[in-house]
Amino acid sequence: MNQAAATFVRGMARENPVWIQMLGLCPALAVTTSVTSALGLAMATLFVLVGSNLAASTIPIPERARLPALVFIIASFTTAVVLILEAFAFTLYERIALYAQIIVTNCVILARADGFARHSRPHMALLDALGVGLGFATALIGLGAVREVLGSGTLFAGMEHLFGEAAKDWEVRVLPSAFAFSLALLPPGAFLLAGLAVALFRPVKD
Amino acid sequence: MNLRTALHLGLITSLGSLMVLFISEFTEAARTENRRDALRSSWMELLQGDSSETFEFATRQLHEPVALCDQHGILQAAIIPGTASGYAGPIAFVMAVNRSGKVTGVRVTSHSETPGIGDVIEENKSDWIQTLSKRDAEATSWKLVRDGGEIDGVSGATITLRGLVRGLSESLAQARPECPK
Repeated sequence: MNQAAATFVRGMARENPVWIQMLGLCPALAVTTSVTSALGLAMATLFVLVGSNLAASTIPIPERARLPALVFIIASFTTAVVLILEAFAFTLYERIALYAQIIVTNCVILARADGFARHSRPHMALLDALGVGLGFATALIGLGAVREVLGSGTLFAGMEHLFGEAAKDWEVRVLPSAFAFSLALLPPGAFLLAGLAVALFRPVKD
Repeated sequence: MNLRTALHLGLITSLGSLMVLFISEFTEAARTENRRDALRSSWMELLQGDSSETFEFATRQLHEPVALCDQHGILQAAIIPGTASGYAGPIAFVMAVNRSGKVTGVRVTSHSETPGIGDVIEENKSDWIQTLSKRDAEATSWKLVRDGGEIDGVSGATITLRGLVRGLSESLAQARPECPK
């Protein structure tokens, strides 16, 4: 596999930011009560990740003040994505604004900008951002799907907040609502399921 | 060396600020429109089509009561926002009262109650909030059944509901929306 493809793929499996590197666990546990909110935050994070990685690889970053410089860049892109969400996806914005604003503290993004993009060419930084961003997205959506099925018995509920009225029919009832297991929606349930996911990913790491 | 780093940082912050400024200006109209639409539709929903009048909606501070007046300056309905103390923190709500003094609807706008237990106050989680509609705003029955009132409780969520109902009745007693003369 050539270097570019390897850069893209490693973020999704062998160096998955959430289940292998244990970065960004806070948003991963906080917003994953449904596939919709997991997907919404994952897309916003991907946007910030691509923007900050591209900026960090094109703009020279002062070595001695690299953390404030990178945090400022990430904060700018986060503010931008929150404003864009508020203008063009208002219902989603109302649901995930709080978590979207704290994307700035997501250590996955700072780690990629500081550890990789800063001394890489822009196209490699872009591939890295896409790979890691999609790896983050698959982790969030996977956990979101499990929690939504166990906790609410549905899948893809509320997708119209992301994709408009046509997505209203996407909701699938997997389990009867009488089987709803609300622990899966509570923070302790998130920790238990995250622990299982980390254990499942161990063979991938070794 | 220090000066160079400072200039360098200055350049980066200027670039970032310019980008945010540009996007903020560009999306300003759409954002204001969205906020106004959301406010308007939430109010109309709360009034439950109780009034056929069209009201002039102005964007106002969300924490003070809003009087909805017809063109003769007569009070037709009122939107009353407020906060109550729940089990895990403040519960923000907004309610609508029509001209005959009945509460037509209540919505919880934000809360931090326990998911699966205290979140029965959310409109899309449970029908409980509907039991508050069509009640007389002046009535003294704004209490849970177990506290000697008329509002049904939900087991496990008594502290949440008691706090919310107390907050609602206090806001109803205090709010005095008036039409501009």
